[in-house]
Amino acid sequence: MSVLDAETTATIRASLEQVFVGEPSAITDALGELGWSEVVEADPVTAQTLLFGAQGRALAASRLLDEVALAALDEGFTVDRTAVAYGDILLGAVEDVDTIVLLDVDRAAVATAADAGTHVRSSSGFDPGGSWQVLDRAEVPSVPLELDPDAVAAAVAAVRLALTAEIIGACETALEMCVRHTTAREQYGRPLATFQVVRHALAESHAAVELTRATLTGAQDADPALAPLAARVAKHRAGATHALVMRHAIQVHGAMGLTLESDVHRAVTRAAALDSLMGSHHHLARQLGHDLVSGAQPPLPIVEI
Amino acid sequence: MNPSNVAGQAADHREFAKQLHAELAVPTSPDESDRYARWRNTRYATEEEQIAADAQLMAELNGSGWNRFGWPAEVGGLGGDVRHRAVLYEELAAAGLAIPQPTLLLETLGPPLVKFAPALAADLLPRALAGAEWWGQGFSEPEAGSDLASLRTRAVRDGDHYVVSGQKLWTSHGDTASRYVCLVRTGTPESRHRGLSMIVIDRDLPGVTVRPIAIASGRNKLAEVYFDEVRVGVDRLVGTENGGWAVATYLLQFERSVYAWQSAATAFGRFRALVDAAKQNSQADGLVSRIGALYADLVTLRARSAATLRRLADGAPVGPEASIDKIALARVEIGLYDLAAELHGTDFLFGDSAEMNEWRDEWWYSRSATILGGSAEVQRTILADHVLGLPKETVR
Ligand SMILES: Cc1cc2nc3c(=O)[nH]c(=O)nc-3n(C[C@H](O)[C@H](O)[C@H](O)COP(=O)(O)OP(=O)(O)OC[C@H]3O[C@@H](n4cnc5c(N)ncnc54)[C@H](O)[C@@H]3O)c2cc1C
Repeated sequence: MSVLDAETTATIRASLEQVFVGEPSAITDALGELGWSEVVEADPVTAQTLLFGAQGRALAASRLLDEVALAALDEGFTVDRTAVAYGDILLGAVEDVDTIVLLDVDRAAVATAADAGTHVRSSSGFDPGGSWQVLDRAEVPSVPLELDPDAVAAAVAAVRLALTAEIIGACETALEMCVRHTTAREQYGRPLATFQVVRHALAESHAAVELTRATLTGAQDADPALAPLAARVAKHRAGATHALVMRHAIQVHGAMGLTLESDVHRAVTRAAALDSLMGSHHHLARQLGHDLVSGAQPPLPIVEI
Repeated sequence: MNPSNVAGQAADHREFAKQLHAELAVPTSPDESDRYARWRNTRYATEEEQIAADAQLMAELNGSGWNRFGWPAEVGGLGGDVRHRAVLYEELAAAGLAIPQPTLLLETLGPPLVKFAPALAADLLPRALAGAEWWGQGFSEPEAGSDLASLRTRAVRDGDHYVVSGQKLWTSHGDTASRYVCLVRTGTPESRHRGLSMIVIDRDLPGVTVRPIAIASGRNKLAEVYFDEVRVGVDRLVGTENGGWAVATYLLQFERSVYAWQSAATAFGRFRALVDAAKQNSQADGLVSRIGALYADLVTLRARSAATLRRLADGAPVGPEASIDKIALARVEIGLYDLAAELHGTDFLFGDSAEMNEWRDEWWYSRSATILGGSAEVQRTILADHVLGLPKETVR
């Protein structure tokens, strides 16, 4: 549970808005000005949720997630010299680093940036606004990191929780756009938001976002031994929520929602990319189910009152 | 054995959970008898047998004090808060002792009684906790379902009595309950929610008639209750005359949140049984994914519900956002029993084992998750109006 009170949390949340308006390269400085290290010291868990929530709301791209992964691996890698590939996806260009950690759900390896260099391309795929890079892993020689499997699981869990917080943020932004648009735009002589189908779509989206938030908090408070499982559940919930919220977001915007003129597409594409990192919600549901049916773990309640 | 260190347990629900868990565990030594044996994983053929057995379990728990935690001393409780009650339900479900049916309504009706009618609560609650009686909730009427504020059952003041006439419908446990906590009209017919009062009406008063209603499983889950010029003392009022809506609003936060927690505890046990069943045969990929997604839904429901209960325990009001708990609950209930039906396939439809009978009964009851206590649509409208602040629906 958070040690920061509600008021402090709200203040921090508001000041974080400013951090993500500028260039990604300015984030570190902006956080420094804000005295971010003190917040992290006071309550690292809440700090991470707030930070990634703000990045999500801003639909901003950065390599903050790499810091989370590298800190959790605790192998002495630093973000200024090391980038992380989540499966075959990197968060940014690799020119500035000399090492790449290849993180998978069950193992980790390292490659040199020099070896990887020519096998990395900027993604112009579904989320062209992001700074995503795709690594052709088959072409890149790598050395396995000899790690305790628990250490890899802990790093994956930390990444999944950060992604959950970020997806919540992106969904909040999409939902705010929906509320604004449907309140302002009129058809049949009344605001769209007076039509029950529209109202219910947004209410459902709001419920999904809040339920994701509760699941995230539940996972953060879970017994450490359950952290990997709890993080899997949370990331699944976030991904499923993104699917619901973005489907409604496009629909209630009408034609405008499909265009580059509205910002809806930015939320849609960014959240989809975040869902895919370290296991999409479909993938995680299948895995959770498979583990239950194969008896790998009994159904554990995870959350205690 | 009585709970030892009552003050310590009242102050710390986790400590209470530990003690209760040990109390309810099946004894491992053959010298010790299991005092809960008769209730463990027992299935009853009728609703009436079930509720009677559940009441006996409450008497047992009450005699040793275990179900008095979470209630204030003024009503016979041992202190602690709603989290203690949550612990009780969870541990009962985990020990294969079904959550006693009367507590579903006690959790809805008890807290408003304690707050708005302390004298009445001091009189009635100890009996309810002891399983000596249970209560029905008389809100819905033939013409007042989702639109509760249109209800018509009238209560007319006559000296120190109200004379009550009208009909309540869909009263859970209505045929076996001793009393009904009813929302009645004390204002003008047009007064909507401003002219309503909450009042406790004893079933044995002259003019009260009850008819059970079976749901499609054949179980008498519900009843209709008729009031024909029933004279009820004014001391039975909960809150003030025409102040019934405030009581109902207070009540709803418990109805939507504690009920969600109770349902989650039961659903978790049922989910375990379903996973065990799924292990027996190889399952299609689609079903495996749904098992995984349902598990996540259950964890989400618990996470949300636990957070809400903690807020209630802190004395923070839980307003319209309790609709989110209800939405999460409905998702689990509908998902779980649909999955059970699909997994058991033709056996669910045609099998005549006790197990399949139980799944079918529960499947029917699970359909109420999107209807009772405010339908799925009503919950979404509450969120749209009061949480998202969207412009109101216009009535044409
Ligand atoms: C198992 C069970 C137990 C119950 N126990 C109790 C009890 O103990 N005490 C008690 O008082 N009541 C009880 N109820 C009654 C319950 O509260 C009502 O069923 C509920 O309020 C809905 O009313 P209704 O059934 O008349 O449906 P209606 O109000 O007729 O609604 C029918 C359908 O229309 C939809 N609808 C209605 N209005 C709107 C709207 N404005 N916008 C969109 N859709 C709308 C509803 O969502 C629903 O899908 C119980 C019901 C069940 C099923």
